[in-house]
Amino acid sequence: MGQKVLIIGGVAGGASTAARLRRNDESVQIIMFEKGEYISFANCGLPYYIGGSIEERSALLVQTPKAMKDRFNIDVRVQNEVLSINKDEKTVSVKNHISGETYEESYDVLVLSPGSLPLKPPIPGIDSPNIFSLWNIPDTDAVKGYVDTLKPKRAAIIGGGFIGLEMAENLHDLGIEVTVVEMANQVMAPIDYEMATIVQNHMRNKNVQLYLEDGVKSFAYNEGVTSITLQSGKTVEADMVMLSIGIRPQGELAKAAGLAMNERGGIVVNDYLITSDPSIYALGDAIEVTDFMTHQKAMVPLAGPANKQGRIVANNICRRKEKYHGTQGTAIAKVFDLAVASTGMNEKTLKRLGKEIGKDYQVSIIHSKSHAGYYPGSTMMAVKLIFELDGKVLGAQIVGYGGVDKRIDVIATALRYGGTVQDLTELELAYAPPFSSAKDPVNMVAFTAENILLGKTGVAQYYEAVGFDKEKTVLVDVRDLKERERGFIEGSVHIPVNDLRERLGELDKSKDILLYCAIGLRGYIGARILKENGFENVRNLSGGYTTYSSVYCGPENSKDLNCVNCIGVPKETADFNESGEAK
Amino acid sequence: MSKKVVIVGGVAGGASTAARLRRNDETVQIVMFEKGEYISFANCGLPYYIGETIQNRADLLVQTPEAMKARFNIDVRVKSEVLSINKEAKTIQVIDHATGQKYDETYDVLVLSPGSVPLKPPIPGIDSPNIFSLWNIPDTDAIKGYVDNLKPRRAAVIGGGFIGLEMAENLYERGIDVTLVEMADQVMAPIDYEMATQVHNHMRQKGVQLYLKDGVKSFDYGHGVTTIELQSGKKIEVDMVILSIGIRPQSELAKAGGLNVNERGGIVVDEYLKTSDPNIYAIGDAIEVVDFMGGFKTMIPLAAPANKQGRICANNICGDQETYDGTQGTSIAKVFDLTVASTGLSEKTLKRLGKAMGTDYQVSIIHAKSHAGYYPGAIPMAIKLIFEPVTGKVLGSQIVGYDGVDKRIDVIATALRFGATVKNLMDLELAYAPPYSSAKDPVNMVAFTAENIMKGKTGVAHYFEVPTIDKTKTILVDVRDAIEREMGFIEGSVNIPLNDLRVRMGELDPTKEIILYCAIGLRGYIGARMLKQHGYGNVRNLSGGYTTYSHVFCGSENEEDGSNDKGSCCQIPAENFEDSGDVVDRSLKATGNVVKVNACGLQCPGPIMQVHKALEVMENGDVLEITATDPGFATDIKMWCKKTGHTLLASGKADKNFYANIMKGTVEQKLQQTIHSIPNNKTMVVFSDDLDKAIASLIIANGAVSMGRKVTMFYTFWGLNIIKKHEKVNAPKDLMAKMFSMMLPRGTKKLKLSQMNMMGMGPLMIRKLMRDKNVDSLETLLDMALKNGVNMIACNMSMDLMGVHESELIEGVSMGGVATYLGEAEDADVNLFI
Repeated sequence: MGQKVLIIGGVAGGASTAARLRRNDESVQIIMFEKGEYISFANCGLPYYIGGSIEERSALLVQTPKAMKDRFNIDVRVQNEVLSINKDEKTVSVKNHISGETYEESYDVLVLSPGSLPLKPPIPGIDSPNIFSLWNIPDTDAVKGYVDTLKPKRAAIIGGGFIGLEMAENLHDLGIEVTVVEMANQVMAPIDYEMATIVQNHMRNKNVQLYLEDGVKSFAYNEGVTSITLQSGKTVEADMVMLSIGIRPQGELAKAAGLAMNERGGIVVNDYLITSDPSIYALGDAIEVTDFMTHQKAMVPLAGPANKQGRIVANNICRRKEKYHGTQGTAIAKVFDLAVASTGMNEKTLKRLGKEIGKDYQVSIIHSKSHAGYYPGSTMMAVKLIFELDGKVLGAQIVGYGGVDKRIDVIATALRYGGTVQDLTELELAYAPPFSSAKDPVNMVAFTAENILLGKTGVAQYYEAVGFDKEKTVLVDVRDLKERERGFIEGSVHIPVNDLRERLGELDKSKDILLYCAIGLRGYIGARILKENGFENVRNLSGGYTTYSSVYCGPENSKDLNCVNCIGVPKETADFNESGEAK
Repeated sequence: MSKKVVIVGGVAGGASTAARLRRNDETVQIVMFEKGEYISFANCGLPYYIGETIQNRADLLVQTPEAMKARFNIDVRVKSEVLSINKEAKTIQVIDHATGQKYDETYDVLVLSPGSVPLKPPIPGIDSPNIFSLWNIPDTDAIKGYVDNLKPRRAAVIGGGFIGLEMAENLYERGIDVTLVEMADQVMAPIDYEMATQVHNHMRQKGVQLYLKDGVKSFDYGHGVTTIELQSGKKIEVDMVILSIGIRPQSELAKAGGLNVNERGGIVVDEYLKTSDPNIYAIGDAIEVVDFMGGFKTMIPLAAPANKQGRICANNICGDQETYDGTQGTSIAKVFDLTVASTGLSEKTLKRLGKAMGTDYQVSIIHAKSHAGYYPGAIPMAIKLIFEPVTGKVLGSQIVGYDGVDKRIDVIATALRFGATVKNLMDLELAYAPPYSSAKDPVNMVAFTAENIMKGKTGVAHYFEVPTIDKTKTILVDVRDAIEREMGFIEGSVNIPLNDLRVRMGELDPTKEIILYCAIGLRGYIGARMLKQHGYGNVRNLSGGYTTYSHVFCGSENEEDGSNDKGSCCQIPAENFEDSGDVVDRSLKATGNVVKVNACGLQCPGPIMQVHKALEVMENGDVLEITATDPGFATDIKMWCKKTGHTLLASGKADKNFYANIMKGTVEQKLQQTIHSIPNNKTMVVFSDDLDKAIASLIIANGAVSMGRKVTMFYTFWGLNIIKKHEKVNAPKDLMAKMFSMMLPRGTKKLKLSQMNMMGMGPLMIRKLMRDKNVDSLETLLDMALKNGVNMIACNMSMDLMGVHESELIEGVSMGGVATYLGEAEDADVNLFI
């Protein structure tokens, strides 16, 4: 008789563990408990079912207890909630919610895959009937049922993370007016501010109302309408509210059993995913992992890692010694027409860790075409690369329309090997006009990073082009006149790059020269010309006017009549558009 | 004065070098010579301009001499050919083709970026006016001009490499029938045979004629048509020929200049890209490079490496010591709807290097969806991973699919650059959201299967082993569901669906070797694990499953030549389907209900299962419109329909999925069904024998019949008189019947009008009117109605009642009761009482 393995939680990690376990060992007895009615459902697909991209509800149900039984001989018990663990006796107490019965089950090995739960802070009125969270199938049925039958016209989404923005898109697709409220000064926490502004501008151009740096004070429900009062005092009226503020690990069971927990409620595991009890494994959203890049402890709730942990747990139960090497936080989301992706560390994290730009790390932003410009359908993407001054790549963020997923995966792969800027310049990626350029955007961002590292050019960031000291610094716009007519940075002088060699005399060598073009390429060429001609202090604006205008000249600034950051921008159209450079 | 750099060749590598050089150093003097008229053009885009995907010729011209001068202060001299190098004097001799003048130019550093030229072997007739190569802008202009003006209908492409296939696609896009001739047994040399068969099948499905393992013996041109005679003796007639046999480095100049050149004509350089002369660098197609994976010297003409070499070369000229670490041969091509990509070493190369499968390398093939199956547009791709079985070092990979191929090859190419192992690929944390990938990306998945092979979790069998299986020693088990088998299976296999395997294991002889297969390899693996755990010593899983097997053995090529020398083919050969929608019977209008089923992203046997389930509850004649994302679906469904007696109305590929419209049952069944089920028949009760009413009834009847409706006329009471014979018939009658017979009119000619009879004048007048107005007479109408198949029933009861005998009625009328009539009336939408 093989060992008896109990698995608590039947979604991503739990189901993966169970299936792999059976493939490893036909003799092991496997019982999987799931509190809810469904196992192994497509949790990442739920918003798209609500929005109608996924048409069939059945498509969300990846596995059924019967199919797991037939194929893997796994005893799946849905609506069976594990109430407590007795790790000394090696038993669990289970409540069968169908029969109401409570019973004990013994184990040789216990696997905890409890997942996480949406946060629901004690805000007045939060239990109103038209306030929803989206986490599982019943939630989905509730939201979809509400949307389909009551046809709400206005929805408010509280929280601008992955699920929040996916819901914004999907409700918008249904013709609902969407408002997003976010406490931070940006949506999509994994990416940095200037990258998030691209997303925000895009959403605003899709007529999504964004309230940033604002939180909910209270909800007041009346006859189908919830009036939301924000911290700022503003009120938003909506026919439905989606709460997507964040999640917390479901660590109560583990904690009550006396397993080691971290201060954020995460279950502590070792490299082999074993908890403080040698017979108990844990995986998924509820565990504390090692950040692959910083080697610090972190909570990174992602489906990809949970699935891989399942495989490792199953192998280790079968006496292999496999390590989980940590999570680097590679993530992607579709936000309307944009893809937003990141891997490794962002600048915010680095700052939180006390790191300083220019000293501990450097940043390069480029805007690059998804494939050869002469082949139809190429679109622009913004790529931000963060790297140490010795060249080690720390992280990347990409926002764009096409080909974003490919580039983030390439950089994520390189990060796994401790890739350097030099490594990225040398990557030999597949090139044909429909797919890429002879120098792929990943090569390109590495080239610009290398130029910075080798001191070929100084680099300036978007925020340095605002409020600089005009006595000390000359800001030079090296674009063509036509481009300048559509908007430029206040206080800049205009010398097109092709004229720069002849007009060097107009620039004061004793001053700090800051060049910018549309995306950073001509600015770099100009910077090289100046450096080679004896200008000491020359810097190129990373990401050029495109990044600058994305931050300072978006639709939200158009409301502010006193905004003088950009001159001559037709503000209602300022968007990071598909053809690239700001319109 | 700083140094003077002279660059020979102004396309990919040369232009890259020049631009980087200027960015590095403002003072260096840069002169770039280009033999042709254009610099830095989009050479990889040329086929797409011919195919009109790229619409503006100007888009091909990435840089101009003027722009290079204005921005980079580079002296670009086009139409200037460098004739010779004097490396001792550090000079070159140049001819300006615009003026015909020759002159010498000095250099401090010389960069050779001469590129390559298409091969043009001395085949008889190869200089015919409609034979083209595609390499530069003038070539492109010539081909496009020829296609635009002469509108050729048939083209032959000689050589199935990248350019050949891209040209095949682009000429096809222009509506030209394309034939492709290739010497090897496969197209796309960088990928292995079993991967290339998918490309073959796809191209054949598009209607491209493929001649593999065949070369050109001669071209014979006459009146705009070239007849190509192949080595095999076959002849092809075409209106144009594209030569894309291969290329050779343009290294004559280097060789004449006394530089080291390898036996293939490649310029020998060191890791700094310096030639045998310390003042001369060389880059691009013309140089010999190190194979990054294999470490051996090779020639790999690719645009991206040329561009990167340009950057390195420029840096080194400026005093850096950057090394070029070799080329791994990452390449990709769009071939119709498919993307074909590879990186690293292929199995063919490994074999050529004397490596043996199993000991030196192992192979895993999977078929994985481009993103989460439940999100629309997920299409499977085939991934082949080649790795060292002991160390797990990844040697190379090939991917063929419809979507997301470029991403996965780039991920693996990146990993290869870092010396990846199978374990590394398993651990890769790639970006997951349903529109982009799955929680376990295809790259992770292929690594998982490779690891299972490495760790001995399962033995692996390969497609080519199947035909040589010794049935006395090996059992081939098909673990798919029975329904999947209907679309074809490997001959000699037994079917035990995976879910039954635990129970039915006893049927398998544990002393024999067991090879399992499923559709793609996943269930086969699960089955293999089950058997291993239950004491079966010798179990293997077929890598890539039936999908890979059938790509190789069941493609349309096997059907064509009838004989299959590769061994046991599947039971049912795959057939072509056209992407435009293979309409089986356009005239057939389905009148039944339409049921739509979305089977996109379903796991095998998902789509067919869905079809099966849906058809079960449908009526004959109903139409099922199903969409799926399994590329094999459109082919499978055709076979399945044939086998199960349903009718495929259309199938093909839409934007991001494949579709099929299926009518339940067959055409014949449907027509019968129509008669019975669709109430558009007409029935008439003809009660009266008035002439005018008789005429009206028959006009209606004939009209309805001509519309294809079934018409039944039920003659009762006086109406019986209409269908009596004119002549008197001696029938046995009783007294009452005889009296009735005497009083009642006999046949059509004796009928009266309902109004204005006027002692018989009325009927005569009507008949005259009808004649004058060209209306058929009553007799003609009656005759016509009978000939047209109007069902005339004489009422039994009325006949009895009125003493009419069967023999008195005209031919073609049948007897029937009210039940017969009512039966007909039930299926009718018009019922008249006349």
